Amino acid sequence: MNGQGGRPVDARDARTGLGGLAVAEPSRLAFEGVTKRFGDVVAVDDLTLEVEPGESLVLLGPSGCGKSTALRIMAGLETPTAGVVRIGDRVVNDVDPKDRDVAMVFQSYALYPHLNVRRNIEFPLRSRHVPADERDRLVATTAQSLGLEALLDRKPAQLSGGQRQRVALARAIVRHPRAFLMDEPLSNLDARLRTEMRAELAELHLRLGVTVLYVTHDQVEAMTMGQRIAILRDGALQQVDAPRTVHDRPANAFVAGFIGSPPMNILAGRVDTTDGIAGVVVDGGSIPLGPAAAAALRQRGLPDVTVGVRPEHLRADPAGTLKVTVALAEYLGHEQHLGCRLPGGGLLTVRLTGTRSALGPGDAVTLAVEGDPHLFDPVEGTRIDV
Amino acid sequence: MSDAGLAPGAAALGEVAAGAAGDAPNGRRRLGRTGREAAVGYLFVLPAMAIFAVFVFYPLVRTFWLGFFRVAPYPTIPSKFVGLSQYKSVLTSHDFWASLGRTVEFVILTVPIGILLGVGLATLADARIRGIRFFRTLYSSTVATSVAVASVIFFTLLNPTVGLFSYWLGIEGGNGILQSNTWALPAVATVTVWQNIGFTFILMSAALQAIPQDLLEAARIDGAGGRRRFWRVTLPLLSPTVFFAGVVGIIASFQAFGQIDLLTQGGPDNHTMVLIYYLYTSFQNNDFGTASVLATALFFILLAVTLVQFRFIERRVFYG
Repeated sequence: MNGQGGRPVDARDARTGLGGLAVAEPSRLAFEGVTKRFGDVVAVDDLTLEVEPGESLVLLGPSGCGKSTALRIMAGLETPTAGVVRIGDRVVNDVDPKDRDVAMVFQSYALYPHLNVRRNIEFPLRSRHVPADERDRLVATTAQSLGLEALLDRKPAQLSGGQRQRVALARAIVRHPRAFLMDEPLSNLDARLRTEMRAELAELHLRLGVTVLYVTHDQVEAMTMGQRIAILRDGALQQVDAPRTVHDRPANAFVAGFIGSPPMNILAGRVDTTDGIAGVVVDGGSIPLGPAAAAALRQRGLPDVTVGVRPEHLRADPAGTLKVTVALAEYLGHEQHLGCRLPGGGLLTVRLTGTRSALGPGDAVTLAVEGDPHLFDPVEGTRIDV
Repeated sequence: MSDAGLAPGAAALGEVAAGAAGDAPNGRRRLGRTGREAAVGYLFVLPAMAIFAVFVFYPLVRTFWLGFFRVAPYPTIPSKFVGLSQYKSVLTSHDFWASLGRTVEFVILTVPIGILLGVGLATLADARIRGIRFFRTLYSSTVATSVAVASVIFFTLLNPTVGLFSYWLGIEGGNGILQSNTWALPAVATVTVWQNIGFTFILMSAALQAIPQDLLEAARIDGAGGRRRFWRVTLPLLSPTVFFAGVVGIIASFQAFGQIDLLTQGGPDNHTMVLIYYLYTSFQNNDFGTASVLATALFFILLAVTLVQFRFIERRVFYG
């Protein structure tokens, strides 16, 4: 294939050391109104979502939100109850997984335990009757690109978690599929290895320029791996956007609470109308609003509102507007998290960076909110645009 | 270890090392600990060993010993020590080799077909479709059937005058299948396969369910069709169970007695006279000497077969 964006293959190979590893033209993946029911349970609810050719899109959500089911529908392991699934321009609803030409990396890696690494990587090629010399060449190139040459004769049981992960990737890459489907591929690795493999996967995607649909419940993984993130809840799509947009402008309170670490503080508030609209009254005090936000709320004309404040937008400030009591302090080295008790019993998380604060449990503290808070409809949870 | 010949420096080093080892200054103490552990271990093994000794090892040795005696047909006449000559005469006799041949034939007729059917039915019953539990119950039901019951059922089915099989095969009224030199052994083998199918089915079903679904899904996505998935993924992962079923099946078939006794009593014309039934007839005829030689032979044959299986076939088995 041609390099992504018309870049010459040679230059790319020289840059990446990928040798002759070619990849099929990446395909667009599309869910069009896809629903999947298991009995009375709706696992995927009218999902419409497109992954552009060469794009890496992450399906993110809590466990049981239907993200894995959606992925399995794309792979052909589940049949949708309704809707259309496309790979490229082809409707694949009735196409067998083996004829869809997509590769999948499983959470468990799903390596064939009785076959050595070489035979594992070869498996998809043998299934497709690729001639032996071509097979050897492809396995050699793939193994080299993933640093597996020395392990080719080992059985999966003799490999470490990271090595197994790499073999699973090699098995996916070796046949140049039209798209990669990844089902929580890093969640069986320890934290350190996960960070390492995350970077490697991101780099691999850049190198190969393939279409990737990636499922995870880990928002850090989603933020780093995805060019766009699709957030699912109870089978329904909440938002699809670039990581920065999802973080900065969450479409609803659920997304707001799911993205970010520690998660956004969500508070019930009442619009303060005592002297024009200048703030939202919440438990423990009030949160001031800028003119645009105030105008938006005034236009809306309803008394109740849900307010979202990111922990990093709170700081201890005697001139602040929220009075709380520190309940717990977590020191993480590069930052510090304070769990602050509101008078009404709720907990507010504050994230402090820089010098370590002397605040500890029991200390009364006044907090100031930096910038405008996120505003959501208290019933629908949808974002109130400012 | 002796200190003789050690340089003084080395001896001093040894002392330092011993001192550093603290509460285990010499080898004897460590040995004492392992000795105690071993004693406790043997103590745990003792009850099982006692039972084996009384019911297995003693009879085994006794049987081997009895083979050295020729027993007279009348209990009042004492047995005569004949040394190895009885072993020689029995083991070179036509009857022995004929019965061994029948036994091998019987094993070939029962074990592979039994395993094949077990794997086949288990694979079919592994399908996730409505009402499959009914078939699972049905396929495993023969495990609750005794050899005697199975034999009686088939005895009726094979009966030349009232048997359904005889009717279907259009041979009613004749001598019957169990009286046929050609078909008696296959008929007994069929009963055996039928009776064992429940056990093999349960064994294979359990093994199938232990295969991670991920692997089969990965194979589907990797482009493998149903047949390739079965041969390249399912079967290799079933191999330990197939091997186990093979070993157990061969031993069981070598020892199959009830169905032969109930259906053919070794007939017609010795065509179902397998080793174990030959042994039994010798025993019936008060020929304990011959029976003991045959029992010893059966033991060593099974031992050899099992060793061969472990030595050669197990290499092709994948343990997870």
